[in-house]
Amino acid sequence: MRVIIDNVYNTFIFMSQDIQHISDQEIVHKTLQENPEFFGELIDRYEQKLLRYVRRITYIPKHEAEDIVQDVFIKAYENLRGFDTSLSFSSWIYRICYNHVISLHRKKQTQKEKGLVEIEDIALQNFASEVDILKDIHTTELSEQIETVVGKMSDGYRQIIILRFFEEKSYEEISDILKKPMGTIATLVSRAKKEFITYWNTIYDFN
Amino acid sequence: MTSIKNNILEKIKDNTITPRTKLYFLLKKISLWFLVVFTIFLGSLSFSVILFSFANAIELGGFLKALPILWILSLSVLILATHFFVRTTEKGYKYKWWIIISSSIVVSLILGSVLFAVKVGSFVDNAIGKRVSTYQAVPNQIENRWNNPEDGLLSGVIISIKDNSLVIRDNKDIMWNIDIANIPEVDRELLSQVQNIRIIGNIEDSSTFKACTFIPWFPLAGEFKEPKTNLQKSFEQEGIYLEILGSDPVVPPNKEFIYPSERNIQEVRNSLCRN
Repeated sequence: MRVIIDNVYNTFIFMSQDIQHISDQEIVHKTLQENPEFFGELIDRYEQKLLRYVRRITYIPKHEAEDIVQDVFIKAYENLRGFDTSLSFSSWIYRICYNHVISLHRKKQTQKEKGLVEIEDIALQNFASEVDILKDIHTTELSEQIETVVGKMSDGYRQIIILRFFEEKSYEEISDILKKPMGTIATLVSRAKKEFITYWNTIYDFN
Repeated sequence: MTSIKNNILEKIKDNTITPRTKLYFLLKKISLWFLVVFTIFLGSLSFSVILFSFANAIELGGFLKALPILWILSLSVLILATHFFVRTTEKGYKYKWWIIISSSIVVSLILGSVLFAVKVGSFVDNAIGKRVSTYQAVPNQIENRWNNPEDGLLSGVIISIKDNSLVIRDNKDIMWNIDIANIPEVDRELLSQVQNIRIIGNIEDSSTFKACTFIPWFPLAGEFKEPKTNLQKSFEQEGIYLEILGSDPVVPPNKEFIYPSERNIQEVRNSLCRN
């Protein structure tokens, strides 16, 4: 009986707040202080982003990516009291996700045959302009060709390209996700772009 | 509610998963920082032994012979370990590798110098020398260098002195008759003032050594002296010295002795031991 009353009370508290206007940090605080149901809001906010990120860096089918994302959220929930509030929640959960994928990758080599990167139009245009390849081809072909080239890149640089241009993370956020100094991230982004252009020119021979 | 969200919340409920306690994260943080401090401290100890070895390089026969490769390796490994542990701390990844490495080198050098100054370097060297049979402590290396009668170097405890001869016992408990006929009277004064002596000369046979000159033992730089045991004291009252380097070295007044560097030893041998 007590459990039912608690649940009803929690649901009432949960629904009575305009949760969408609360920051991630506050939701973490509320999850820990008041009601674990608040964690659901964090899942809503990051589920699709993480799913897309996992698929971009692993090329695994959707149902497998969903399993990974579930594990990531469970891990995040267990470690919620270790959340460093000087970071954004986004960087923190991306870091957990990245580390989880890396540890799975070590256990069994994931497939890297198809370039299933799923790039949104805006991110695609931004990236194409960043590496100066817009002039070379029609926009409609661009997505497929970028996917192929990114798929050929080395893991480290591919991670950087995905985080910087497709996930549109800042240098500071990438530094927090990959746990590398900001200066190193700047260098890696520059090298990753060079590697991309090298592969691009090799594969499509536009020069 | 999405299926992923449903699954996650159900799993949390069904498996009664709860967030780990604050104490868990606090202990994790403390353990990591303890490892950082511990590896820096061990690195500083290594550097204090390196300093102890280099400070006595002349006695060891030169800079290259004093090069404590084991301790330099240990310092390097510990600095790398410090870097690794700092990088695993919460904010450690924000610093460049060379900043962490150079900071830990600077801290190890400063702390190591302090430890050397308070004779901890010698203490560690001595303690390991006693426990690890394959490790040669600095005083033992110096002592061994002076137990090469074939190369004209001998040291030991003075047992008796006669007009033109001397009996000493070396660190292998071998008694040596030392012919001091060629030593000027003024230099023989040293024999009455010290218990342990170093001799440059030539070996005559398995128990006779012809002395060209004497050199007293100088105190080693940064050497830690263990308090004498009661057994040692009672033996010493009977004129028996258990450790050649364990007794206090005496440098006689009004006489200048030079540190016996390799070059000096050769010069002394060439000028005084021609016949």
